[in-house]
Order: sequence, then C-alpha cells, then structure tokens
Amino acid sequence: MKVELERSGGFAGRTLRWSLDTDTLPHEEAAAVADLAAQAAHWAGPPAPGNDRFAYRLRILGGTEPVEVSFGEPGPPAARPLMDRLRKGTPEGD
Amino acid sequence: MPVSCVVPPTVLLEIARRGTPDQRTWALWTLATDTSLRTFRAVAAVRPAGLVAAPLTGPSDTPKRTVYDGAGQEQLPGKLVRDEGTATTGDEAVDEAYDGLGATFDFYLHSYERHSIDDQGLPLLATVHYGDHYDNAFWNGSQMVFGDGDGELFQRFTRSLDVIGHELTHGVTEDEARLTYLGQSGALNESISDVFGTLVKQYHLGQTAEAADWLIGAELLAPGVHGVALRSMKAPGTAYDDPVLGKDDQPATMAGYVHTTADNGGVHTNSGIPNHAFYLAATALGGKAWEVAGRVWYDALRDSRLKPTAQFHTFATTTVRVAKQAFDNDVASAVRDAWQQVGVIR
Repeated sequence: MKVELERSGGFAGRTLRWSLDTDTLPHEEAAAVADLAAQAAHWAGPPAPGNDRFAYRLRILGGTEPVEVSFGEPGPPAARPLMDRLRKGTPEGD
Repeated sequence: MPVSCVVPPTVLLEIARRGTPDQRTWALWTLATDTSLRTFRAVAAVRPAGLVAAPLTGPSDTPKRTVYDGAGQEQLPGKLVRDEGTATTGDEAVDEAYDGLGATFDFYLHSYERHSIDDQGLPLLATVHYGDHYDNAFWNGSQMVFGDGDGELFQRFTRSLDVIGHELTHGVTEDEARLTYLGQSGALNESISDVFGTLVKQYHLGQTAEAADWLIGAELLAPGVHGVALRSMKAPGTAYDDPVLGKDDQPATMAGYVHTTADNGGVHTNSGIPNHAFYLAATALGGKAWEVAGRVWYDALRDSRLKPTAQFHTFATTTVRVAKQAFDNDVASAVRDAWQQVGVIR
C-alpha cells in the first residue's frame, strides 16, 4: 500500500509531498499504517477558512480501493497520527 | 444521492452560529454537503454575512491593535500580550506585529482615507508564535496569524512588513470585492495582497517606484538560502532557486500561466502575472506608486461592478476604466499597456 500526503498553499505557495510504501516498513508498523489508512475515506473536509491556509490531499493506493480525500489545515483529529507519521519523512517539492 | 452526516443538523447549526472560524467552516461545509432539503433551508439562515458589525461610534483615525501569543500551539487567539497604546514587550515578533499593523493602518488611512479593514475602524487582531516551527502566515477570516518559521528555510513571518500588509489586505478584499479564492479570481485576490503589502512598505520607507525593491518577504528567508525573497513583482520567477526550498515558479505573463489543482488552482503562482502588470504600470507612471497606480487598483477593488468570480481580463479592463475616471487618458493608457505586456489585454 502506498500512502501520499500533499500539502499545498500557504503564503509561500510551496507544494510538498510525503509518501510511505508499507512494503518497505517492518510488518508491525506496516499494519499500523494500513489500519489508519483504512479510515481515510471519512476524512474529507472543507478548506480552512480565510487566505494563505495550507491545503492537504491524502491518497491511498493499493488498498481494497483507491482513496483520495482533501481537507484544510490542521486536518481532522482522526487523521493526525497518519499525517504525523508521514511528515516524519523528508518531503519532496515540486 | 443525498449525503447525510452523523452529527445532527441542529448541533451543526449551533456550531455554525457560535463556533470558532474553523468550527463554523466545518459545520457549514458539513451542512452544505448534506443535501437534504431541511438542511438546505436551515443553512441559508446562518451563512456568515461579511465581517463583524460596525461599531456605533464613527471610525477613529487611530488603530485598535491587539497582539496575542500563541505560545507554540495551534489555538486562536492565544494569550493577550500587547494592547493598543501599551509599551513594547521586548518580544520581537509581538512588537513587529504591533508596529506592522500600525504601519498598515496608517497607509490605508493616509493614502485612501480608509479606516481599517472594513473602513469602519475594525480592531486589528494578530497572533504570533502560532504553532511549532510553523512555516506560514495567514488570515483566518477574523484575524492575522504569524508562525515563527522552521529556522532552516524561513524565519518568523513578522519580519517582513509587506507580509503583515499582505495579510491585512486579505481582510480588505474580503470586505470589498470578495474575490473567490480559486483559479484566476484567487490569483487576483493574492496579487491584491502583494500589491498593497508592498505599497505599505514603500509608503513606510517613503520610496518611489524606481527606488523600491518590489520583493515580497525579503526578510523571511533564513541565512544561507539561495534567494532574495519569496516573490518578485519586478521579475516573477527569479526570487529564489535553492536546493531545498526549490525554485520560484511564478510566471510573469499569460504565456506561463500554470494549470494545477494544488493551492486552489495555483493562486500563489499565477498571482505573478497581475503582480507584474502592477509593477509595469507603477514604474511607467513613476513617482510614489501608491498615489496613482495604487489608487487605480484600490478603486478597481472597490468597483461595484467587479464580481467575486472576476478573471484577470475583467479586473484589467476595470483598472483601465477607473484610471480614466479618477485620472486621465494618459494614466489609463499606461495601465492598459501594462496589462498588454503581460498578455492579459490583447
């Protein structure tokens, strides 16, 4: 399963992407990430109010079905553990 | 297929009425995606209408500033640390925000006789030290918010006066043209904030268009980053080119317009086009940019015929028309020429 988090917008308008492939993780951690990712379809939400806010897009590929959801910062509380796990890695820019 | 949600509409309505801006947005969005008729009727009654109501007394010529300390949390507004008329705190971010709000208030008052964000003396609220190494500054619909930056790429966002002017101008745009934050109207919204943000700085420094640097966020980049600022209105696309930060990707003309789904359709990217048009008009007209070019853009922003969904071309023709009304054919011609050079008017 591949999980990708994209953050765009903000004053600087930089787009950053963090990704994880569960195949490269130890079995236990891969299972934990997959458990979190299984909830992702419920995380869609509105953009954050105002201007210069960060916008997030989360994509899950290789699960039972592909999922893509968007939401404004800081994101739904349920999504935070998966977002934090992804953001531990080094992002790629555009 | 009608979509319903687990939180009852009555609870959502209560949140939409009394919640924080974030909670209100979430509640209204949830109600809006619940397509049942009962919810549809209820939403119309609570949709927020513009900014806070005007005070009963006439607007004052002095600002009403309040600065809060977010203390590294993402909670607003945070702890009150400096109120109007009180002494400096010694905290650079607090004092920069306070001074920057004052400079922006003075700019709008003395350049365009505007009393604060809503022209009715709306108090100016700012939170600094928001979040942990937070790489951003934003307007949340009610107040300005500034992060400390990560320290590696970005320093604290209050360092640049034009960033403070940019955020406050989002409030002005929300009160006037209400430009939809998506695609071209969103890039116009962004450009208006860069235009008046940089004019706040030029006014504060008493600079002419020729002497100004036309940079946005020049003081934000951390030492060692390869770049001069976050954006350049004089030469969009040249502000930075750094192995970690990446490269400034702003286009200067319509030939480079970027089509993307990120960042609300590239609002911080395509703003380079109207930004450059303003720079070209201001330098062609010469002198202090806020007096003629700035006045034209300000009148266009306030023009009652300008719709929230206005595209670049409509905004451009509006500036040409108001230039003729407020000044003369020579000014209108310089403004038209600027928009032609960036490919918005043929």
